[in-house]
Amino acid sequence: MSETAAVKSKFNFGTAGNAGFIIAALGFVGWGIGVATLGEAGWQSYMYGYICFATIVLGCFGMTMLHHVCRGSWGLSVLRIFEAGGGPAAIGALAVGFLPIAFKMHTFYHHWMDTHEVWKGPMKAWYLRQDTFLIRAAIYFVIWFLFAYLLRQSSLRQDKSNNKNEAQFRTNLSAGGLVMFMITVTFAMTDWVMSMDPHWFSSIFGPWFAVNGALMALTLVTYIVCRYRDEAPYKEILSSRVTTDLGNMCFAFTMFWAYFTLSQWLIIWSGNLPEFTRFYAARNLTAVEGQTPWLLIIGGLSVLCGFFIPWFALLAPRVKARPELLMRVVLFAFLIRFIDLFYNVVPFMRSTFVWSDAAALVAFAGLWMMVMGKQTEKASLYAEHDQRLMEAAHSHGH
Amino acid sequence: MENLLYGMTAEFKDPDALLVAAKKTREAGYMEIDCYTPFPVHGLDEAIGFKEAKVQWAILLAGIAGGLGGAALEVYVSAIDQPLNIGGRPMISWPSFFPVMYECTILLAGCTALFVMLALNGLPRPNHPIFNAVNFDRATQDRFFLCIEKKDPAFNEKDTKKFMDSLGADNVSAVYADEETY
Repeated sequence: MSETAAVKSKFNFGTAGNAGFIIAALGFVGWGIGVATLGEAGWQSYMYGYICFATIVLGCFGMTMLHHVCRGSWGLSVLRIFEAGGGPAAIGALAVGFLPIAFKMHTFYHHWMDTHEVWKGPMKAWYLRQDTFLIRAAIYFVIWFLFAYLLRQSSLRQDKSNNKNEAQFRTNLSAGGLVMFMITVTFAMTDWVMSMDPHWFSSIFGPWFAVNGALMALTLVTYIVCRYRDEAPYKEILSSRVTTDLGNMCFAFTMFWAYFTLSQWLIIWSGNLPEFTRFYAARNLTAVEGQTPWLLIIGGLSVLCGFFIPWFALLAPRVKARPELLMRVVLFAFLIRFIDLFYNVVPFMRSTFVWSDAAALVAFAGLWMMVMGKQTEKASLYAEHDQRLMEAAHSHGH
Repeated sequence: MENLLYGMTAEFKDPDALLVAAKKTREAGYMEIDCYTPFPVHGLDEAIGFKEAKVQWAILLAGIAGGLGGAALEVYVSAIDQPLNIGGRPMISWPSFFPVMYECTILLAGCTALFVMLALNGLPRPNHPIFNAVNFDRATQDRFFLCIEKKDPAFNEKDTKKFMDSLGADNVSAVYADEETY
């Protein structure tokens, strides 16, 4: 225990946190200029950045619970990054970040907030209400924060006390937590994103964000541990077995993402009903004369670069056994997520890219880096309560 | 009797002991070794230097062939042989072709995995000299066996027995085939 008591990396997560603060500050200033000069389009950029942020925070949160439920030893290599990137502080930041959206909600949700159209009907009218919209958002944040807080505190307590009951407590909490997670994420994304077009609905749209978040979280942490494979503690624990497990998880979630994405499209294509196809019509799948279907092009790009390229690359065992190759593949897969999120989120509001979208993305990326870096620094980088990976590393050494 | 000798087996009580022994055996220069265990032991294939990748490549090629074959079948039946207008969609309504392409990929890849594995292992095969090893029925229950085969160039009945005795096995014994098949 004592020799690993203070596992610190030469790659300093605290420095990453400070850098994140500067990036976030610059990003928000840039976005502020965007709002001042572009008005509504600038606010729409905020929605894009916020949903990217929410997706990765919730992805880390979900992966933390998945680890506590199945307790695979591979997860120990990255648990602390998940705990930091989707922990109570990150969820707190998520709640604070929601305030501007609540403040400007008529900009995003005027289709149903400011009309009393007959189309709403009894089926949707009781749900799409300004007051319940805000109450629901508050409920999501309270529940998420509570789970994240209890899990993180228990994990830190066990580092000190080494009490095995803590691990069982986290397993019990997370088992129910994963059910809660899928339900609340479905509702949250339905409220925040899908309701921007109240005519359209897809029941897989919410879970799609959960899968996308898990994929983002997995690819990013895999990148981090492979990138810093020569630093403590990764130098000790990162065997080809662990990178293969991480690579396989990225592979599985790449497939999962494709499955969800294709399912939605296939069902809408087969049904061919106007209230469903409008989602793809808004994304240039219906050709309009004299108009470059550039949303269709980035949609195709996200299928090619978000599925086919990483899927075939991650299929090869030699890629997953070699961190220097794996880190390139997963970084690529991670960055493509932002194009994919753009394709899914922004066309609800407008069909063009505006420079402040990039500023908002940078701002929220910096914010996540800041929270993740600062929170990671607060605990040992390798969870001390479960020594399986360390033991495996030492038994190989002798 | 001597020419019916198949190899030398060592019996272990737990998978970790087998793993260590397998590594030592490879380090001692033996190439033709095999292990028999009641369940897959993680890392054992590496420890005995197993690097076969023929099945994987066969599965990949069969999967691609299955996917393309499924697409070709659908294009043929719904656009060439009997053109069907379904709700005004294009004849080659490729988004709806995915499920069949997917199923054909899985079917061909799965069957290929099974049959290529059987063929490369020389299965089905009713009998095998290793079945004569002492206590071998427990290889499917609770014992872990390491075998150095006679065809290994470094195999020498006396030295190999001495080496295997040093591995800390429960018992080391020579295995003889029923008839001269090797």
